[in-house]
Amino acid sequence: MSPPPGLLRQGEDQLVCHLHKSLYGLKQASRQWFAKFSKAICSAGFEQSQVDHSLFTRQRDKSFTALLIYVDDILITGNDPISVALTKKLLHSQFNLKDLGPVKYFLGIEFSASKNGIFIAQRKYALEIIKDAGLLRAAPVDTPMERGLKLSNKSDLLTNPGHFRRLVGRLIYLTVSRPDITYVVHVLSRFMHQPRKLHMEAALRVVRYLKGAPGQGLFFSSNTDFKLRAYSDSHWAGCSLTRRSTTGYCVFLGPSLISWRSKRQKTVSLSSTEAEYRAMTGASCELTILDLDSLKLWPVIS
Amino acid sequence: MRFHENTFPFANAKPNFFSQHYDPSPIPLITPDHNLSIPFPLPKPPSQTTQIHPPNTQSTHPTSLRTYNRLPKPIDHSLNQSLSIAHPNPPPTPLLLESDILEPPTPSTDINTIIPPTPTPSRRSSRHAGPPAKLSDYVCSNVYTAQSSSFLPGPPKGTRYPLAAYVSYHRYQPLHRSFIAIISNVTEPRSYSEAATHPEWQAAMQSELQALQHNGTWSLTPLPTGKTLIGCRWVYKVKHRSDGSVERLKARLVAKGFTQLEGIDYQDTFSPTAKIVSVRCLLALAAARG
Repeated sequence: MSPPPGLLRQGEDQLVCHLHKSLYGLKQASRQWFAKFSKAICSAGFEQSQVDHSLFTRQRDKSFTALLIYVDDILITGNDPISVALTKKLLHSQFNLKDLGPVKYFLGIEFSASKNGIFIAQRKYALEIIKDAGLLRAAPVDTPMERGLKLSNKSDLLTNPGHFRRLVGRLIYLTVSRPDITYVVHVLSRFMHQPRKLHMEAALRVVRYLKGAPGQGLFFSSNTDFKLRAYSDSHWAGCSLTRRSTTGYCVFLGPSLISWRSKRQKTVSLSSTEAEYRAMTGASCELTILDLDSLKLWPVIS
Repeated sequence: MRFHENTFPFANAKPNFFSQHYDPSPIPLITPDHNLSIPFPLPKPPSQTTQIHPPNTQSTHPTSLRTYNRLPKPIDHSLNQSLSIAHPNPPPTPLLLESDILEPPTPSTDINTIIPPTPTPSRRSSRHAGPPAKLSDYVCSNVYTAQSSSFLPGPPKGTRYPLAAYVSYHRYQPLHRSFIAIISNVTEPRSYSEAATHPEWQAAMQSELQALQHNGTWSLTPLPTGKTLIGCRWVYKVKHRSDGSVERLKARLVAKGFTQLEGIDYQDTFSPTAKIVSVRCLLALAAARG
């Protein structure tokens, strides 16, 4: 590796750094780190989930602890405070990490907890999108999309498609806490390869919609019965360009929304019944993933 | 000539220093000794002054000297030297001081004559008053003149839909409110050249280098033949405490791994990125626990 600025003294210009250990930024660095972490955490009795490899759970009698790792951020929860504290202690002994207390800011999402539940929002992220789109001064609109809008590929091509792609990419991440813009973002992302002027206008309308309430988010109520409920719907031949249908579903855990989707189906359906069945298939696939046994999250709670 | 008192860069002068007029001659008296001719930077006193008197305190001399050092114009180097010599010990200007002391300080009654008379409120110009045209490219929620809002009926000028009308924090707890205020407020340098000017970031980089060397992360060797070099760069991060306050400034050395070739430089990669669905599941679980 080339030596960092500020390291070399005079006369050492020819030398380079020979790495003995992994360094941030190397391709294999994250793998090395995860291998080390999962080895440590599995030796403590945690079990890796087969659905999501970054989820680890441990169950001992009544006490249940879950641990979620996102590259180098770790979320721990459980129904037994002692077990949670022990897990933290274990991690502290193995790694040099920092306890940030109750979660407040994770993956750009702001968390606000009260005794009624947890509220998540991407307020700062939404405000940044509005600012970078240059619409801080624009009038907000009430809907993210014009009613019945059919985006065609007829208008002029954008001279700078990267602008559109970046904006829609950020909107996609914003759907993490904003189910209300899921549909329009999914429509917009169909045109990523060849964005046109009309598409950009539709994307900017979403931003103006965001301005109406940038702090909106999801609420996870503490009053829950841990029952999974899923609702699905389809829009037959919703895409006017390909005549393919659209799947929509949402999954609730108790009263809180945990998963949703709006997606154009892979094949053309000849009847709306076919489209409905495909949507139900998608929803039941998601339910399978979220199913009690496979995610191993809530058997003990109920 | 107008005397822009407020824009004059005397930051730490005595407050009554501005209200009194002074003779700028004490400073130029130094320059003939060193055969220097520089344009005198101090604004001339207004023409309506009737009395001009030298500064009546010694403290004005160091202040004016410091202003010389801050001049944006290229100054002859010898002047800076002479100033830096003159600054620690006042004796280079004993003659002036004597003359100051000998001359009796003028009574401060002339303050009233110096202050320009305030315009009478009865007459107002008919010129259209509005925000400057140069501000049309910027978002200024609070740019509107008091005149337009008080005299013209209707909505105030400026932003029609200020963002402040749509962001509300009143539902958050006070603690959370202060937290989001702090995390929205910090900026991080983007490059080494940007960070190298700040001593705090320099210290952060130094400690990172020490930690890497302590771990034995690398050793310095000549480049083996046939190998390609991987670049590296600094990444800067402000670390927050859980209440949002700045805990420390972190500098991190990262390798530019994108120059690595698969199969030659590395075999497998994997990143433990959680599904956002499992994040939400975990949250629903944590919320239920209370």
